[in-house]
Amino acid sequence: MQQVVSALLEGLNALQWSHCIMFAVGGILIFLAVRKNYEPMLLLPIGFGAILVNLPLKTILTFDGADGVLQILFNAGILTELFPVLIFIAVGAMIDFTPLFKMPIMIFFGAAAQFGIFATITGVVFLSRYVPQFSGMDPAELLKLAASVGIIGAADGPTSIFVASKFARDYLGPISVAAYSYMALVPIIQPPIIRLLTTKKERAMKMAYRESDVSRTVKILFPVLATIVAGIIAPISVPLVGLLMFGNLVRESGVLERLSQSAQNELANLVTLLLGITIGGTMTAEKFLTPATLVILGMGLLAFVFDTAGGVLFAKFLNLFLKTKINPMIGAAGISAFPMSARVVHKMAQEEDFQTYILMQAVSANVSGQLGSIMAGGLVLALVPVLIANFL
Amino acid sequence: MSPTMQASLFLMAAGMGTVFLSLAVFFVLIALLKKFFKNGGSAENSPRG
Repeated sequence: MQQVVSALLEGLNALQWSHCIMFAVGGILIFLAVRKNYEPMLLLPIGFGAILVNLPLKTILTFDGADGVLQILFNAGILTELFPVLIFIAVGAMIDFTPLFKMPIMIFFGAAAQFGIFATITGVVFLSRYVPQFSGMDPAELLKLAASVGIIGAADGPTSIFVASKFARDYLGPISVAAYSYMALVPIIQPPIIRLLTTKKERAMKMAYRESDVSRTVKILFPVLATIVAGIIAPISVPLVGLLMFGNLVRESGVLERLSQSAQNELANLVTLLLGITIGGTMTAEKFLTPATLVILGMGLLAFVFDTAGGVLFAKFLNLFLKTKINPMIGAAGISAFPMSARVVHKMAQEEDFQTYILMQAVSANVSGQLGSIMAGGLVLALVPVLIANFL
Repeated sequence: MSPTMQASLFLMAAGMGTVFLSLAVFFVLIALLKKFFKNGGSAENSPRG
């Protein structure tokens, strides 16, 4: 009888305060998803996964010596990098590069706005001496962790997950939460930074819109040639860039409408569902409730700040040399948070002068940010091992 | 300066430089594609004898 009672109370006996805190964390993510509509497709599954994995005895991870369902999904989808890579096909099928093709010069803002990634990597390395969990780390592992935190600045969930699952699997949970939360918070994060770095006159600057025609052949050839080019520049980026461009080719070919729709809908939804709950399943109290999580959340925010600042300052730098000036806010639209960043920048311009219409230029920069972020992710993956071999 | 800090600063310089260079290559690619495939590129747009 005593054993029966013991077995019935096993769950309650194993419950700790840290688990209850994680229930609250999961609840907050679900609240943000449902009530505030902050990236619900990821934050809700992550939040629920965090609750599941912190229930006593973690039977969702292991049961009777065998892997539980979340462990199976983790092994199949995260360890193999299959989930983020499948998401890239879906993302590629959703991207329309036409605004970029119409104004190719905007591509350079997609480069400038990746500054936050690299600035944050340096920031994490600098801060590591003050964080107990990081200060004793092997330098190579520290650089990989810094790269995984810095990639939050890509403002691209799948890229962040792909890099973090390669370099810092233990921190996948907070990195994903930071990446998706801050993507949803772009309308709150960007405006103060933009206002700090620009004058009212600059924000109200009008820009002429001169677009050029884009043929269907260009839209079909671009993903094929871009994959070849990216694969030569950074071979390790091929899973990222290649599958994104594959999805884009399926979309643009014009003869695979069903596959394009499946990629944009069924594939995206199914993989997102499994990816989200699996990431949530990594957020055990022992791993999440540490000073490192606070550093990741803080530095992730800084990555977005540096991205915005990098783009705006790049535009202002260009204006020193250009006869036809660019509205510096266009630089801020070079982050990958599409289409939110473009809308934020355009709205700010309209608030200064309702006749300032820069939406098309902002959208071009925003699309180029999507390209810039995956290239930056691929380059981080390529360069970090080389630097470890040569410096550390 | 620690080796890790040196590596991160080098990563910043090399990373940003290579991102710009990569996107510059894409810029040239787009410009060339638009130059060589100007007008629709589809059968409907071709002049018929």
